[in-house]
Amino acid sequence: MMSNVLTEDTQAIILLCGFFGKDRSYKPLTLKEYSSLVSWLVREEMRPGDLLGKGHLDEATLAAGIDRQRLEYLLGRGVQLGFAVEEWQRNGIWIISRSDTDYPERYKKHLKDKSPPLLFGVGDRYLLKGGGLGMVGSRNVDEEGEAFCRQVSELCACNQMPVVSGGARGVDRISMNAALEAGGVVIGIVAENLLKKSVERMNRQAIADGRLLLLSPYHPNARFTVGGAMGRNKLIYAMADYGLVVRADLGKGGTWTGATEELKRDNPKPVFVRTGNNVTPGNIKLLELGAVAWPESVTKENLKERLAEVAARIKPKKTIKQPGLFDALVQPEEPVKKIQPDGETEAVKNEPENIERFPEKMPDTAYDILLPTICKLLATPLSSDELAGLLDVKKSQAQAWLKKATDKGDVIKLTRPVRYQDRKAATSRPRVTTGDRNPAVSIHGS
Amino acid sequence: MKNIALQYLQTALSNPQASFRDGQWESIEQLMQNNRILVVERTGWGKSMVYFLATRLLRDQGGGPTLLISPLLSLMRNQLEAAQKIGLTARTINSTNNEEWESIQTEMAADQVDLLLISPERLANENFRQNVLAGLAGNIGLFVIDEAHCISDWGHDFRPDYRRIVRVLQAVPANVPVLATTATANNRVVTDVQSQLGSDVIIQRGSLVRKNLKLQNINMPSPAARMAWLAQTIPSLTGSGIIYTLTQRDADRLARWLDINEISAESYHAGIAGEQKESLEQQLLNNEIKVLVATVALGMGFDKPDIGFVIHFQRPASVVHYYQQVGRAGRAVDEAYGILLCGEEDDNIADYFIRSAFPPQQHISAILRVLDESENGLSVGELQRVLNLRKGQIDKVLKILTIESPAPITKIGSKWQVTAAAASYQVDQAYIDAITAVRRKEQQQMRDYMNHSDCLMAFLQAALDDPTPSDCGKCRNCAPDLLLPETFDDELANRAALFLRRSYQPLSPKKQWPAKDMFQRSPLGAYRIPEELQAGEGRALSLWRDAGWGQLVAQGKYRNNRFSDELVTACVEMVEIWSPDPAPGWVTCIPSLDRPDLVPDFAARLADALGLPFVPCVEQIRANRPQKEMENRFQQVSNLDGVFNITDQCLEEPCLLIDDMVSSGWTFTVAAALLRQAGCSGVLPLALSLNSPRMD
Repeated sequence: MMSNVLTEDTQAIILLCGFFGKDRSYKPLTLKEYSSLVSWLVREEMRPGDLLGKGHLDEATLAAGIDRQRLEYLLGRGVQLGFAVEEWQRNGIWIISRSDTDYPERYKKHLKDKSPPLLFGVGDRYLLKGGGLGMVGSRNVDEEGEAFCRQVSELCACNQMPVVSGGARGVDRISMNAALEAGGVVIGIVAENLLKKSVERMNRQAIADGRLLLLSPYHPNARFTVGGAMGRNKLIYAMADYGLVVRADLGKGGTWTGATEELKRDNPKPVFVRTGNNVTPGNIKLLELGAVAWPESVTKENLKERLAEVAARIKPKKTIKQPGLFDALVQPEEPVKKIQPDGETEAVKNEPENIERFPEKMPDTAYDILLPTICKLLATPLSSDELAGLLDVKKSQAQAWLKKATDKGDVIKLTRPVRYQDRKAATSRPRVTTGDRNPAVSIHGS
Repeated sequence: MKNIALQYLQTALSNPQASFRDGQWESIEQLMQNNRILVVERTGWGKSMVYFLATRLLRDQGGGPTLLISPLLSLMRNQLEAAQKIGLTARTINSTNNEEWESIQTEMAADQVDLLLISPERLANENFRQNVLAGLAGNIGLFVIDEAHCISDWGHDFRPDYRRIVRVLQAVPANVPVLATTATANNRVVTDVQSQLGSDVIIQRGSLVRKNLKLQNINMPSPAARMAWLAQTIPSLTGSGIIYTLTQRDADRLARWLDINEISAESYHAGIAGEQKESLEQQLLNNEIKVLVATVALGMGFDKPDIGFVIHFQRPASVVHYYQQVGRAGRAVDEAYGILLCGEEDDNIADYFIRSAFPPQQHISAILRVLDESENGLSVGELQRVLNLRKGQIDKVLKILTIESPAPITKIGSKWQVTAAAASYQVDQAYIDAITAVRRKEQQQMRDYMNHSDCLMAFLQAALDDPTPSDCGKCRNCAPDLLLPETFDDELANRAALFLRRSYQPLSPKKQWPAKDMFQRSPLGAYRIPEELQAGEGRALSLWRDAGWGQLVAQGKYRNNRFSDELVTACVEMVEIWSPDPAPGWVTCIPSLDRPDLVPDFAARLADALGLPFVPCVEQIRANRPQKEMENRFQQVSNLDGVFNITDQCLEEPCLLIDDMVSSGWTFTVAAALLRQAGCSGVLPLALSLNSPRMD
């Protein structure tokens, strides 16, 4: 069961930036205002939760240039916050802030201080790891485009690549549904009606199966706004490994804006575009702006390799900037990250509270020492019982390690029956299996 | 600050010598430091003064208003006056004052309200939360939860709505002070409340003992005997008081009985409208009535210092219940009585409440299943159509499911939908079993109390974990001479028995069908039942298995297969007293394929005794399932479609339409409509017993 307890930092961030209740005497902080407040907190070696105590508001006002009464008002919404959070949680909606350890690493890395301070979500938080293919396109799509969406989504599903999309009509909905129907994993970044979408039949099943994550930077009952739909595009790219534009209208619309914005970034994600005879001028123009054509020759077997190959040929990425002050503050309790050659980050496991005191190096824990062994043993799926037997430890100990490894993403949990498998083993080597017990993660070669 | 607070206290009480009670200032001080505190003190200790003064001090510092969650309908007048004296404006929002909500919202927006009282039940209402609450709680400076024992699963009075409040509290950040108060909690409940509110909660707890209360227990199985005793004893008691009953029907009936015996009495229960309740409370406060006959609905926070007696007509569910109720007596008078009467029906009623506390698993599964199968969810009405469950049963399931978090269902617009959490939802049977076991233990403890031979007050104190129980020297067991006589006049008892027998139940005619397309076979339809097809007001002789005639009816139906002549005589008497206008000209009855003779035999004898012709012109032409198995109005009406036919013997004059049992009343409604279609000018339903689910 997901944790229902918000940290003080998250509470403070919701108070400052969240829309809840109906009283709008003062507006919640914008992303920019919040970021300036954060820079001040960093300088003062304080955390957002410290604003709940008395006596910092004058300085905060001066430093961040935010009206004191407004800050007081926003922070004084505690009871209203209680009612709102109860409502969200009862509906299965969780809230995470930039200060939470499970806030998507990809956002912090890709969007920096443009990362949304708050995210509302329904589904297994593990999926916040992201990855896969971000599929975008306009609401109206022709039959050919629709078939293309389906085909690509099914390819992704077969390769355990999440499909990341926006939950709107058209391309979004078609690709998400196709991926879910094919047993794949989907991350929907929605701009409106998070709650309503989460109870639609196909979605609620997939959420229960742990295959669908719905995520929104907006209030769960928010209605559609153009700005909301636009703002969501960068969250789709940032969550995925690659973007794919199925259909963009030249010079207008969210798809166009989102794609061009992404291509202009210092560190853009590879953006693929659907090509062919019947695509829009917008698609063609995107090719000129740095997007690449979706490779025609992809198959179930070679999808991952082909995408990686093509993406590698795109102009070399600019160097990744060092994490800014913001990161140091907002997630001091984050595990230290080391950037791996393939650009993936992997958490180095340390206890958060130790990080602040010993930022360089910590003695390894039993878990750290054993993790490689555990992963090796889990090349083939094992139950916690079996693992405990192999390691000669108590089952509860094995379960604790498995939980930690699962939470950190090194190991994945399979269902029916419950077993665990090394993530790399499960995803990197396509196994041709017949009659596999676990349709959710197996790859059916043809 | 303490001095300022003390001055406010003296102003509020209009007493320049007043000082803080033990713990009062300490509690206020904690709140001023944004801490969370649980205050366990007896009624009358001055819990309201804690939040009044804290509100005043916080407001003086520029803080927002106080939100008070309380089952009270409003603050008591003396409390309001105290608040006003220190310049606090209090407002209430509850289901009885919709018309004031808007102006209160305006006042709140203008920061003119210092203390807002909202009932927990309001918070369960989706519409209220979205449209009213969301506009109010912008800058609440102090959060107060009254009757906080309701938070505890183990509390005698667990209310589902409080579980929601706990989760709200858990999400409220540390910069909001929180005060939880209760007058009744044993250790187990205090610990439970503490763990729910967070371990940093500070506890302020005082002694519960009531020095002026004389306790006495009297075992009197027959309701008529107890009624006689009450009518005889109450006039000799000083002051006014409260009689607690377990059911609304008993409250109404007992109030009428006392009234007949020239004791001014009114009944008070959940079935009475809000404004009416407030007026009844006032009448008791002002000693305008001698007795308020009440169910548990009168409880929580009702604060009258000079109550002279609290008498229980039936045994309450637990010692905590009992003490909370009996403890209302004798707070500011030298002498007050707490009398517990115990009757033959007590165990039945208690069992019913325990059994029906949680909905059965089948109901939960059925509702989740049909919601899951539906395309876009179902409204409550639609659920009744597809499921053979009572509306009350459906509501209970919806309530239990929506206090889960994450909840397996959610309401979007008017429709309930399942959520992703439904897939793994499981009723926590172990939890339900544990609570049921606690309830049984509490019931047993009350039986023990009833038969206890040592000091009664010491028993109660010990049961409530009071650290220093000691003999009171005043109760029935400590000082037998000082208490009330346990005898009553036989003549009075006979009259009470007769009164019970004449507790005729009016049957009101129905004016609309559950939906407009209920009938495929019978020539009935449309949503409204036209006036020319409606039944007239009818009567039931008794309540099923109740004191009075109820037992005799049950015997006739299930043992003797014949209703006795006594019941014929009783019905004749009832018709005389009732004297419907226009008077019936003939008698007919509801037929039954299963028991073709039972009702016609009785109807024929009754017709004979009334000197009217018996014309069995209603015939059953299709077998159906027993009507009593139909749990809601949609099922009940569907089950009657095409079942009756009216033969051409039907007469034009108004008739008496006889049946043995009536529960929902749809059988009478359908048969009456058909009779009137066939030309009968009026139909007066008459049943032997009105079914009450509790006793079945």
